[in-house]
Amino acid sequence: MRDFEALLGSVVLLDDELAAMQVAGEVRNIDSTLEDIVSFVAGREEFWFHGEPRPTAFKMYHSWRNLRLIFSKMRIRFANAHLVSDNPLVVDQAREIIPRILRILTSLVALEREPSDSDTDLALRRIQELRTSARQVDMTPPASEELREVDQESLTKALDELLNRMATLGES
Amino acid sequence: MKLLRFLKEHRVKRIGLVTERIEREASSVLEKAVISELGRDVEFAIKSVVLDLCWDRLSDILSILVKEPTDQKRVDELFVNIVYMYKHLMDRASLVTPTTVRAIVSEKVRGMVSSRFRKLAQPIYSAQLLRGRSQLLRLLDPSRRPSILDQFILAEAVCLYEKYNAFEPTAMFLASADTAFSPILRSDGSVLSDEITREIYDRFSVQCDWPERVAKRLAETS
Repeated sequence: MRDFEALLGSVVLLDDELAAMQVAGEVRNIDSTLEDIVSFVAGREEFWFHGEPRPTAFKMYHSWRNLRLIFSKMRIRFANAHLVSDNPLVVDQAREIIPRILRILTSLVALEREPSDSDTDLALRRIQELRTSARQVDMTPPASEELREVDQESLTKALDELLNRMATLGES
Repeated sequence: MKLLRFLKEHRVKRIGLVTERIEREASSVLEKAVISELGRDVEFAIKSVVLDLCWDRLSDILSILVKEPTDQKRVDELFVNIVYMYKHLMDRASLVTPTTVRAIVSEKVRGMVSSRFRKLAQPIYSAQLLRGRSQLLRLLDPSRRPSILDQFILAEAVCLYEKYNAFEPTAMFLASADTAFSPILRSDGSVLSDEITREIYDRFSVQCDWPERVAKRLAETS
C-alpha cells in the first residue's frame, strides 16, 4: 500500500466486501486486503515508535497500535472462520466496527499531515470507544496476547510505578 | 474492589450509578496518569499496553454501573449551593487560628485537668483538636480544595438523590477517595475527621465515604 488515500480506499473496499458477504451469507477470502491494511497500519505504528519526539507522538503511536491489534484480530478470525463456525457472525461483527474505524482513520490521516493537540485528544477518545466496541464483538486480541508483545519485567515495573502514583492521589 | 464486587453481585438491583461526566473524568485521569505520570524512560510500547489494560478495566467497571442522565439545569443550581457550602466551610476553617485553639483548649483543660498537669495537657489537647478538624482545615490549602469538576460531580450525586428520593426513601452514597468529600480515617479505619462529610449530608443528604466503607454499609443494609 502506497499512502493514506490507499489505506482509506482499502478499508472502504473491505466494508464493501463485507457487505457483499452479508448479502451472500458466506465468508469469502479477504486475507490479502486485511494483510495490506495490517502491514500499512503496523508501519505507522513503527514510525511513531521511533519518530520525532513530538508531544502528540505517544497518542498517535497508541492509536495506530490499537488499529493494528484490531485488524490483526479480524484477519485471524476471518482466516479461521470456516474452522470454528464463525460464519457469518464474524462478518456482522466486523461490519459493526468498520464505521468507527473509518471515522478514526480519517482523523488520524488529517493529524499525520497537520498535528493538533486537541484533535489528537479527540482521536484518542475515539480509539478508546473503538476498543470498547471491538472488545464487545471479540475483535481485540486477548489481554494475555497483548502482554506478550512487551518485556514482562519492564511492564511490571511500569505498573508498580503507576499504582504508587495512583495511591498517592487519594491522600491529597 | 469490595464495592465493585458488591455492585457486580447485585447488578440486577441497579444500585451502582455513574454519570457521563464521571465517565469522562475517569478516562481523562487514567490517560493523564499513564501518559504524564509514567516516567519518560518508559517506552511507548509499555505505556500503550498499560493504557489498554486501564481502559479495559475501566470499561469492565462501567459495564456494571447504570449510566444515569441528569437534569443539567438542576445540577447547575445545586452546583451553586455546593460552592456556597464550601465557601462557608472555608470561612469556618479560617476561624481556627492558633489563638482560638489556645483559648478553646485552655478552657477545656481548666475544666478537666488538675492544675499541675495543665501545662502537659495543653499541647496534647491542641493536637487532638486539630486532628479532629483536619478535614475542614485542609480547605485552607488551595491545592486541597475540591475542583470545579469535583463540585459538579457532587451536584450530580445530589440531583440523582433527589430524583430517586422522589419515588421512595433513598440512601445515596458517593464513593470517593477525595478527602474534600470523604472523611479522613485513622490507620485502623475509624473516622478521624468528618466535618465536611457531615455538612454535605446535613445539607444534601448524600453520604460521602471511601469505597470500602460504602461496600460495608451497603452489605449491612441489603
